[in-house]
Amino acid sequence: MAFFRSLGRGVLEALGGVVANSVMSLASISTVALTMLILAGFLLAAVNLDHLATVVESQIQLRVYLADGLAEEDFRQLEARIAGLPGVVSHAYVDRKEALERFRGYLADDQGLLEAVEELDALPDSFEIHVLRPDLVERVAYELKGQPGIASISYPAETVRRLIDVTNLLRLGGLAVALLLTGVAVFIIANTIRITVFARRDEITIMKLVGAADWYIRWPFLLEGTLLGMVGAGLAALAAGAGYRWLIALFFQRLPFLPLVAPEPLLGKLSLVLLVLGALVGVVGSQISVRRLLRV
Amino acid sequence: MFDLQNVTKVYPNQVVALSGVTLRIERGEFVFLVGASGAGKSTLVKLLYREELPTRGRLFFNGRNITGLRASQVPYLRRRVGVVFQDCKLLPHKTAQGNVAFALEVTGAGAYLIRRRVPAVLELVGLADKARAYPHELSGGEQQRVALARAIVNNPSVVIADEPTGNLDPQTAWEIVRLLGEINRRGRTVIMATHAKAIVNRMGKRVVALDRGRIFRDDENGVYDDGLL
Ligand SMILES: Nc1ncnc2c1ncn2[C@@H]1O[C@H](COP(=O)(O)OP(=O)(O)OP(=O)(O)O)[C@@H](O)[C@H]1O
Ligand SMILES: [Mg+2]
Repeated sequence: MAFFRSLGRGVLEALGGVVANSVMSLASISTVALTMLILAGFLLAAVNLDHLATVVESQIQLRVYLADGLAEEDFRQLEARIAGLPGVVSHAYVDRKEALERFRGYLADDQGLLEAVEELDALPDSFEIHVLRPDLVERVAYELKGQPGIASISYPAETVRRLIDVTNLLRLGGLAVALLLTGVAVFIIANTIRITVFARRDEITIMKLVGAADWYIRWPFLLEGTLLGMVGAGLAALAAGAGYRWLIALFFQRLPFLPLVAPEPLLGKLSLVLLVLGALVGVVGSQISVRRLLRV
Repeated sequence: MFDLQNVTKVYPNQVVALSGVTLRIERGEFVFLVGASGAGKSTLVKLLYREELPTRGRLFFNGRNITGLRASQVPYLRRRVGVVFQDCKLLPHKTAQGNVAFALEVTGAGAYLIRRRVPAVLELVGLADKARAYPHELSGGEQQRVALARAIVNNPSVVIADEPTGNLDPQTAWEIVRLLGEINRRGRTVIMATHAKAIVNRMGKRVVALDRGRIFRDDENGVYDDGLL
């Protein structure tokens, strides 16, 4: 009973604190929201890069780009060598015209990019090779490396390695930025709560003198901080969700071959993570101020 | 009830407010603390409900050393010691009954208990008709009575009043002290710090006189003697 009574009081006082101190409350909510939004951006990017890496890793295809001006004889030799490699199921020659044609299919409406690709001659003649299993791709690539007439080989393991590099960099950068921004959010919530505590210092002094327990005095402030953190995080979750859906739609239209993570279970999990983090930021921020200011 | 053994209080600014005070106060007593301004009355009172800690010496409440009390235990000590502060310390945005109820609410008391006890103590201090008035709508004497009602609403075993009659005219001051006498008659220990000579003499209770932080007299049925102060 006593617990629910003080629960009611705490909720009312926390809401009262937010309203009475609306400018600072708004400032903290927006800071937390911004922090969490940036964090969400990093998380979504990392999840998608991870996903991309898995998709690429599961491919059983590699592409061998041919050097320009390859003699007929060398071409035949190379083709025979490819066909004879263990694990190779099939191979197909794709000349630069056809490559461009395929690319045009992907990017039907991006005339500018198409022209740029055409201009740069970025898609040379190539062999598209299919192997039996994903783990054979790197073996085949290794066998072909350094063969005369081959300009470069593009195969999943290499792409995966690059993707992982990018993902790691993103993770590290994201972590640093997130830590910094979380610090800022904690700081601003601590300041907001400090103002509320200060506005009610007479009441707190009297509470202490008439025998209020420490937690009884403290917890409305902790609740207020948690509320600020969670509202900020909730706003960020909404914005991140809307932004992600919009991006997915955009990518689907323009780069349909790009394997992106579907919004559905992902955004739900993201919201949960953000809300927990927001609550944590709020608790820590208010705890800092309450501990410092409640000594009587 | 209270047992002070050789208690010294030095404030951080090196002011020695109390030095070597040894004092026993028994359950059910009525004790006046008298002394010139700055003698250390408020300091002594603050030690009793642990707003301040002694620098040296020991301080027992009901046989328990409260110098070493853990911070989490302090609220429970304060619930057993009702205090009327020198400056009332009423919350301006709460009514008389709101202020009195506040002391019960913070202990987690239920609505039923609050509804029963608050009117009863307001009745006892003669403020039943001013229950809904805010502090700024009350006279000094009425504010002191609200503070007194708040001090006793938790049913403490001891009531400590620090100059509860400070700015009151003699008649109003006497009303307050009479109330404290009534509270004492109902079995609670009462400790009152004061300058009001006439009141001390009229009550004929124990008088502990402080001078520059030392007890220099402690008389049953004492009088507040000008010559010595
Ligand atoms: N918080 C404090 N910090 C530093 N010095 C203090 C503090 N409180 C009181 N003092 C000093 O301690 C001495 C005793 O003060 P105290 O308030 O106990 O006197 P008092 O007897 O209650 O006086 P009064 O009758 O004026 O209320 C004074 O010299 C005062 O300046
Ligand atoms: Mg004083």
